[in-house]
Amino acid sequence: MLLLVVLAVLLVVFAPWLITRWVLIPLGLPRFAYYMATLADWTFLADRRGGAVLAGAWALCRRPAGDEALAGWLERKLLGVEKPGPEGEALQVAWLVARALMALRRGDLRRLRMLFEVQELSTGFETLRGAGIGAMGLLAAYRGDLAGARALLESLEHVDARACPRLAGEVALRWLAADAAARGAWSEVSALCAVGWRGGRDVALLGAVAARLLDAEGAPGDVGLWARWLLAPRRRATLALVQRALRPRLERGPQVEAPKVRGVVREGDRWGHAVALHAALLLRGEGGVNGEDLRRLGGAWDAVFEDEAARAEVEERARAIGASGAQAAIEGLRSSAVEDLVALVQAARIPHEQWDDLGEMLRRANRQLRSDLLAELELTVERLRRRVDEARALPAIDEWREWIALKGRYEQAAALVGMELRRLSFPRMNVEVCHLAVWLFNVRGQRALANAMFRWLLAEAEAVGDERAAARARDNLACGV
Amino acid sequence: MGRGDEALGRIRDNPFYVLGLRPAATRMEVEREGQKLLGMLELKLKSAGTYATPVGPGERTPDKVRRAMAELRDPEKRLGHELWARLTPDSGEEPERSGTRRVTALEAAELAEEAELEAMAAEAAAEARAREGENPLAPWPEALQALGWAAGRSAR
Amino acid sequence: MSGKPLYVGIDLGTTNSTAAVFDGDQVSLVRNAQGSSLTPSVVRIDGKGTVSVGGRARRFLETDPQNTRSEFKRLMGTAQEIPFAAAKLTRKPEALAAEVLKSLRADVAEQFGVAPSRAVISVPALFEVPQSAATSEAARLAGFERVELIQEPVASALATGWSAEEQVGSWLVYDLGGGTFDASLLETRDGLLRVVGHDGDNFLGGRDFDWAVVDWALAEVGRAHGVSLSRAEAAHAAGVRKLKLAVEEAKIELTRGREALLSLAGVFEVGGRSIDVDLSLDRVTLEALCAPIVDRSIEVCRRLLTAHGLSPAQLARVVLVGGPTVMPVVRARVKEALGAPFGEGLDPMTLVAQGAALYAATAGLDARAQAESGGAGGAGSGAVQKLWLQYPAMTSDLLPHVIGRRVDDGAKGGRAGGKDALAAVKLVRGDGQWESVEGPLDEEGAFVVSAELLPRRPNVFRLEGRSAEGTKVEVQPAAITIVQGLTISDPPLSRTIGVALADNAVRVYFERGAPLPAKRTFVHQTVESVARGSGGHLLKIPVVQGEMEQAHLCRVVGTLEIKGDGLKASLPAGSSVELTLELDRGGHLSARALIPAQGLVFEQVAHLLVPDAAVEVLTASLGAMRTRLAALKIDAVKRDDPHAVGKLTYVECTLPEVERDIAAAKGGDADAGQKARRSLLDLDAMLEQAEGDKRWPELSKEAQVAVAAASRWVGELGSKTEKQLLGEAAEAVARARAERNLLELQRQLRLVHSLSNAAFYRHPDAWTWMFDEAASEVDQSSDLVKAQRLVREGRQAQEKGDKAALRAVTEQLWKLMPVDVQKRRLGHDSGVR
Repeated sequence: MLLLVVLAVLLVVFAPWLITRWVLIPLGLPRFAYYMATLADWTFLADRRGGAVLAGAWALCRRPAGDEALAGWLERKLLGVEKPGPEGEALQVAWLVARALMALRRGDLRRLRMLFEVQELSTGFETLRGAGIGAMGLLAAYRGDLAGARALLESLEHVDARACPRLAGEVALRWLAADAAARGAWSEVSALCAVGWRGGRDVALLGAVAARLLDAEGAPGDVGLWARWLLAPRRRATLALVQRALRPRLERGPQVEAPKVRGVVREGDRWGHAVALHAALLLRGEGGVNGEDLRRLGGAWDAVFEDEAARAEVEERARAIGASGAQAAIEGLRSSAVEDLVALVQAARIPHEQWDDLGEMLRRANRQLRSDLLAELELTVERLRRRVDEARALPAIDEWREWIALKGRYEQAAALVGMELRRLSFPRMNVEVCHLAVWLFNVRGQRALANAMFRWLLAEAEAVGDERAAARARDNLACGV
Repeated sequence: MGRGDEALGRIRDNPFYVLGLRPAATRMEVEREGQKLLGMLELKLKSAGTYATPVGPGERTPDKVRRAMAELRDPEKRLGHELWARLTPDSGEEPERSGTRRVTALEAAELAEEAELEAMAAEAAAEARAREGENPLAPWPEALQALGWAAGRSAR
Repeated sequence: MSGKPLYVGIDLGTTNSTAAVFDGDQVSLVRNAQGSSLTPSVVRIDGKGTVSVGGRARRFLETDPQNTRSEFKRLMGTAQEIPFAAAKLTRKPEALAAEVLKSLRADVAEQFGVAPSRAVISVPALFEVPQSAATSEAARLAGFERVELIQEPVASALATGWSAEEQVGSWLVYDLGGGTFDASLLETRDGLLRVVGHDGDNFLGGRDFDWAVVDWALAEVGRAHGVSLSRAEAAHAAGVRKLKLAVEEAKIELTRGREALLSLAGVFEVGGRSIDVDLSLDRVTLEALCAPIVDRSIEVCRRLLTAHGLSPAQLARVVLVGGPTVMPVVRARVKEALGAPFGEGLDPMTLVAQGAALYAATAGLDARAQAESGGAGGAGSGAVQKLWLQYPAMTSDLLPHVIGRRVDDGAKGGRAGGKDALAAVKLVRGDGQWESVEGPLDEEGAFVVSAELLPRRPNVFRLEGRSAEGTKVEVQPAAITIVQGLTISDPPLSRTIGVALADNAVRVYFERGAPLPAKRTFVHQTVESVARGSGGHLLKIPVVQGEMEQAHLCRVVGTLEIKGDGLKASLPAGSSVELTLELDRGGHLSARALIPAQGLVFEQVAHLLVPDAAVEVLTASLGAMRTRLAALKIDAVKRDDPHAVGKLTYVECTLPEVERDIAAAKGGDADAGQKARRSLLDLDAMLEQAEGDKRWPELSKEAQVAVAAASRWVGELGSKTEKQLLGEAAEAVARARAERNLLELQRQLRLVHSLSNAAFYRHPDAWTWMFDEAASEVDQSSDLVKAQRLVREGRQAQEKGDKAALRAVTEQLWKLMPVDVQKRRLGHDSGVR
């Protein structure tokens, strides 16, 4: 008996993470998981508080949804929005002194200085690092905001390893893989599981299943698949999936058909024909449109707009109903159609090369898309500039969210329009993001976040060939996390 | 996504479809039909609540009817809408109101030689959903629960 | 049938108000206690708090102006409270308007035996949302349960069209009111009236004639007595008011006579000296004074016609509306300029009210509350089937639909399926000459029948029901009336309503001319993050009204605010917000923002008011405008751009007028203050345009220079890629210049600058040059001592050839420079410590 107690105490002292991971998290005990994980110094060396909250959030995911009190408690633990009472403050001071003494003993003066600087300067918010971001991601997922969770967990990839415990990356990867599978985005699953992150056994299984479903090269054979299934946890829940992946390819059904246009058009009616094609593409929406479809539609429109007879028909109709002429109506139609094309391209994320064409319609759409995207980016960056100029600080997590949203928008726009857009918008993006990052680093102590921004700026500067920006980003990166 | 919906809305909310008329309708027909539909909507008649369009049924509201009437009163705007309403909605399976049937029947006679654009309504959405089980690339909705990232039931 | 319907229309005017009534057949004017159809829009509250309205109040306007108020219509929708000195209270403009409406309502009750509960009230075409809402509020205060608003020109056209023989063609409604001028182009076709377009001048009206004469009189008197008299001086306010009344009378005299006398004894006091006014005003002088004002109105008409591709010769008719149009000078000049015949036999003073009454019929606003509830129903006979009917009370359609639905009381037998249940309905016209096809009831208990109307008169129809077996079923209502005539189906929105976007564009929700009521939803994306729980963080969604493409030139009529403390979680930039705007016929605007991600709804619309026009603010913006104007003008002259000069001269000519208004506002005329505010906003738009015109050539030139400089540096020091990039950018610059695409040019210019800079700094002497330049501007620095020390350090570094030190010094120097010097430092050198 005594031996057992001693063993338990030893386990708590020497392997707190094992207990957290294999007992407290599966039991769904966020508070215990949080406190136990605070002892797990080694596991979360790069981000202790964040790591503890991550453990808590992980445990929270095992509980039924809707416990906002617990979620809020964890969030406060991470972001420190909570104002400590007098005794809390005393505790904080004591804690600070203890940490300072420890740093002193280790002779880590830099850390000591930072400790005080950060405490003094950070505007009531705690510093946020990798595990903390991961924890916020899990909390968002727990609250039902899957898109938000996805964005946060994906963003861990950009956080420096020195600020992001490996475990946080692993958790993120596992969640992302499961989420992609839930959405049926199997190619995403396959890409995620191929990434060099250390995944879990369930990740290995999902990756294998995805590869099989996609008929990818190097997909494991039946035995390999079964082996992974046997190794992975929760075998009962994943059995059906494995069976689906094992099914012979011939048996597989066809793709889901998109809804069709339910209308008829008179033969020889060019306007009607183009409208019908247009409507058909719109109906297919995000998933079902490719560059070839766009070319066809652009061609159909061009054919009508260049057709004298078609124009004459509208002119005649204009006279009949008392309109001043066909020009305005046709131009209106054309610009609406261009607008729709642009929306389609954006929704379906069709890269520019795939629909580049010499047709007038597509050329217009391309110009419009380019200027829309540029204007949107400029606007966002301008707002960012104003906010930084006026020193309107957001909580660290919101700063991070804003940044990943901006980056996402930039990258999406770049994917649609190409290098030209990157060259045009990077200079401003560089200046304003740099301002933000410097502010985060110097004044607000959010070194991990700033570092991630510098890293991105460096990569992008190199990609667009802006040497000056690259050099500066390198200098800034060298300041560490 | 919002913009895609807007684009579809341009066709779905075309004044001619909203009023259940074809582009050849006279000004007075537009007023009469609009007036009638407003009355029917005021009386909360179910038959007036939806209308057929080539991109699927639309919901008819007094607001839409009024806007449609105003749009068609302006010849310049009407001309544009006529172009977008070139497709005659194929309302084969839609239960039709007696009022519009007269018009569409008339149109149908006129458009005897109409050719069908694409096989219409071949794949109903329900059918597609039934087959989804066979689709190997179908989502695995329970993935997050199955892999321990969310509890099965919600405590709402 | 319980007697004839009663449709009430009210013209709530700036100087006079009128009510008219339409009974489906005839339009008649409502007379007030004095027997006049015009009730002055004047309210008096005496020391005891007794309120008097109209003619009785007007008598005190001269003698007791502190307690007698007029022209409050122009302050509708502002927060301005109007004081009554003796009673020591203040009233909002809408409360005063309500008093006038109450009085008119009482007159209707007196004459027709029913106090109307519903009515149509006319508003100027260019009224904005807050002003319309205030008008509706006034009606509510006056005891109306339901009102709809119609724009004055539409009402006049409706009244004219109703009485016109042939109803085809384009008409121009020339509406010169006391304080505003509206020109409306209308078109009638197939018995339908359509507003094709509006234009107008919010600051042009009959009052301007008066003030022109007053200013002339003041100048004349001042010259005769060797003093200077001005409207701006508060001390002269009372005298000016008396003079203005005298002028108004003289003006009326001159519609008949050739000459009128202005004589007032001792109205002004200057330096203790009492000054009399003794002038004679003749017609020629009056016309000379008024002509420029009339010409301005004609200019507006021409602009409106041109905008719609018409020439004056194509007009079928010109309808004159408003008191000032009786002036011979107005009639003559308008006739000469537009040429089209005037609508004959129409009373310009009451036309609007008549049209409003006609519109009340179209809108089905029978003033008798719940007119349908009477009749023989209910009394005993269980066989009466109640019907819920929908039909147009007034229509231009000769074959309108009548739609009905069985109302099931529940308790009654004879429901659907019963033997004696109602199975079909038909209509029989009152003259017995026509009956409809039977309309069978469908599964929802509804039927549709088509009625055939006799043109231009009320048509009475009897409803006859029968059961499935053919037996007669009594229905209720048993008869309906439909009037055939010229109609307008929905009052169009007069000014575009939209939402101002972050890039200063406007997302249009309701276009000008859109039918009311209207409701629309669009999805927007936020551009800034709003942190949860922080009161300071705020997302504003401004609702604007106006046709300008740039949001800041439109007027804000309300703001929806999303505050951090109302959020469940922080709202990152780029989040969707679903915004719904709704506008009813009474001018009530509501906005609703949904944040789908959080399932939250925000509905508080802040300040739905016309902004205040504080004199200090007005004076300051006038000053700023003068400075801006001067700079622009010098530049335009330098550029030798006659078009720009012309535009700026127009602005210059308008400024004295604004100044006069501000002066009058200083003297206590709040209305003049509002007028000045609006003028300034409009002038601002013009200057904005002028600045845009100027910016282009500047930027275009700058781009040229920048490309040349960049070619030099990149050619000398750039890498191969950089050279290629510059080549592409130069092409793009050329394209943007050819397309006059300002935004694109700015973008490309940035790229060119960054390439140029990168190459430039590679030059071994770059920092030496930059240092020399900074040192030469050292006298502009904010800290001269420090700057001079830095310059010394820099010189030393230069001698030693220490480039890094030189760079550090230069960068520190830049920090001491004023902003525009600092701008030269392109890019951002952060240097994290």
